[in-house]
Amino acid sequence: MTRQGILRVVAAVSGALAAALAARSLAEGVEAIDVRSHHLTHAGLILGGAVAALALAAANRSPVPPPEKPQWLLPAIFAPLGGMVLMVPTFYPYMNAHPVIHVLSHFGHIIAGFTAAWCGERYRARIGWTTALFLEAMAVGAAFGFGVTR
Amino acid sequence: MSDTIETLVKSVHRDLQSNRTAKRVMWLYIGSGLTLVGVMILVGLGMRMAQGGMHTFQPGLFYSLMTLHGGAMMVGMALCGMGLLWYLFTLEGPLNPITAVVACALILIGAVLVAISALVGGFGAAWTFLYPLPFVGTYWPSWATGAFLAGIAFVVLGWTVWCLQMLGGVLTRYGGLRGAFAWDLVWSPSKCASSGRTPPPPQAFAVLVAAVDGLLAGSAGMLVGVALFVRWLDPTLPLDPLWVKNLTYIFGHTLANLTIYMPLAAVYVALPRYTHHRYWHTSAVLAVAWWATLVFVAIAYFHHLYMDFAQPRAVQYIGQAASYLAAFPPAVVTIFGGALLVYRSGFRWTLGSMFLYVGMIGWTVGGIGALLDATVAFNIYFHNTLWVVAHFHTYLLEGAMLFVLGWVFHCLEERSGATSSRAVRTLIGVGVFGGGAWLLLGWYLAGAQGVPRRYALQPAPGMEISWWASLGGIVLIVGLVLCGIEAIRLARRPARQEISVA
Repeated sequence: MTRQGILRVVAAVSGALAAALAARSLAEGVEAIDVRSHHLTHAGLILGGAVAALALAAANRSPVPPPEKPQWLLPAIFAPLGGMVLMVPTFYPYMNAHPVIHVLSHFGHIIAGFTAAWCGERYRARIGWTTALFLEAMAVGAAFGFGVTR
Repeated sequence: MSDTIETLVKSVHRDLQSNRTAKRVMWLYIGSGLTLVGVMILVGLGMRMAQGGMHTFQPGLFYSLMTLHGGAMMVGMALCGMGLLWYLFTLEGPLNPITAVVACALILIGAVLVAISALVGGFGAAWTFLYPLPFVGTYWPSWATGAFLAGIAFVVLGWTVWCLQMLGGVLTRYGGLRGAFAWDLVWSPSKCASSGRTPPPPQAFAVLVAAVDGLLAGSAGMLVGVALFVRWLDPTLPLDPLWVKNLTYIFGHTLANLTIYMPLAAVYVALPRYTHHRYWHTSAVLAVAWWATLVFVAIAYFHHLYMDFAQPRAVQYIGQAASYLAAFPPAVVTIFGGALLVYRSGFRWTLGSMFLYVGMIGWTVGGIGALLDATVAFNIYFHNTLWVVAHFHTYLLEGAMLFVLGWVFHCLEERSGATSSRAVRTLIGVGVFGGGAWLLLGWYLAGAQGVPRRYALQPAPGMEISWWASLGGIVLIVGLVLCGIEAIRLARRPARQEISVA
């Protein structure tokens, strides 16, 4: 299998895993999950979306670095912000009680991870890695204090 | 033949046009930054005079002005450094000016929101907005807290846009992190030399460190900003105060540190131009020094949490060690290197070179003050006293700001081919360095006496010291006004070379 092929498989597998994790709430119904674990689950979903985007971008990378495309930068930055808005703990009790909306919000996390990484790579080579790390660090960091006390 | 000439002419036209655009972007950043800094110096002097009993502010107004002064100074100094670095990098590789203008606009919108929050709403929880100060025991309306947090969010967004652009530029130009860090120059110099690739110039390391550490600070700032904003909307939301404090200082301390490291690029580029055939080249030592700076700037913030007993003990040791180690790279490579560059070089003393050189002295003095405060044994006495105010004003006012002024005058002198007279240089020197030192001495002495910072009315001997230190502030402002007049005089002179390809 070529490098491109492997990267496409990686993208498909990470996307499918993230989607399966996102849809799990439908199968489990109403969940009682603490805020920290909930944040970390979201970090996992974001990671799945971001890995899929980075693998796809690497599979389609041109050998010559393209020039800067500023139109892609703002979505690459607003996606992490959107991802954080979906992680507001105030929404969690409602989400836990409504599985369909919960699953939709999980897909929102995957999209945020994908958008941050994909738009970052479209803006300029390697920037997708940075924006994905930026979002992932915030998502994991949130588990230690955002709606969480010792 | 005619085709070749036409291509060359077009290329010169394009280069001149893009250089003109890059300069405009640089002046947009530096102009707006220096305007903010200038206005905030006046606000600062007003506060210092109030502490000295020369006039009175309502206590609420004092804390609102203090909040505005801190926030706008940080933003102003950062803008100057960002513009300077952005322009210098365009000499190495292309950067899109639209992205830079968007970043600047976002930051300025943030500054306006912070100003509205402080001046109209009376928000006064200091620019460090330590949780739970913005929410508990407030004397300002709730919307002012929201406006302040929104303002900080815009600043973080603009800063992040800038950092990503610079990081993208530096990675593309030097072939990824390995090239940008000059990895081969350090570990396999012969391979590096035989490859024919030139390592990044010294100023590119400032770009890389500002972008990487800046993104770390930006992610912390965005996370804590969202958390506080949600806490403002939903007062029942629990936040871990120690978590908030750590994030706030990763953001605030790192940004404050980078405001010094960014304009340092001006020293690398401009200082050698005043010497006789000397230049600042990239060596393995310089590269390693900047690697160390990248790490230590990111972790030195722990020294702000010495008094937090709940903080894990290990990170207190890391904070102490990183604060000390952070001093070595700039002291050994930049300051000592700068002094050697100037020594017996036939150095030309102009306003530009004077500011750049004295800026290194101010940075050293402020750095030593910071090291003392970061030492646990001293911090027990200096924590939250005016000593803290003394050290950061030293390296901002007599370090970073002088680097920026040095760069501004360097550009004006190069453009006009003229320099200032010895008398003007002396007058400005006495005003800016003499008045500045006088003002700073007041903070050092009061800090050593244990006078607390962020007090509108200070315990003895704070008021007496504030009174005479304010006189130094007035002398400093006179020096800066003279500086402004001299800058206008140089700017109004015709350009030395008008290159025309028409």
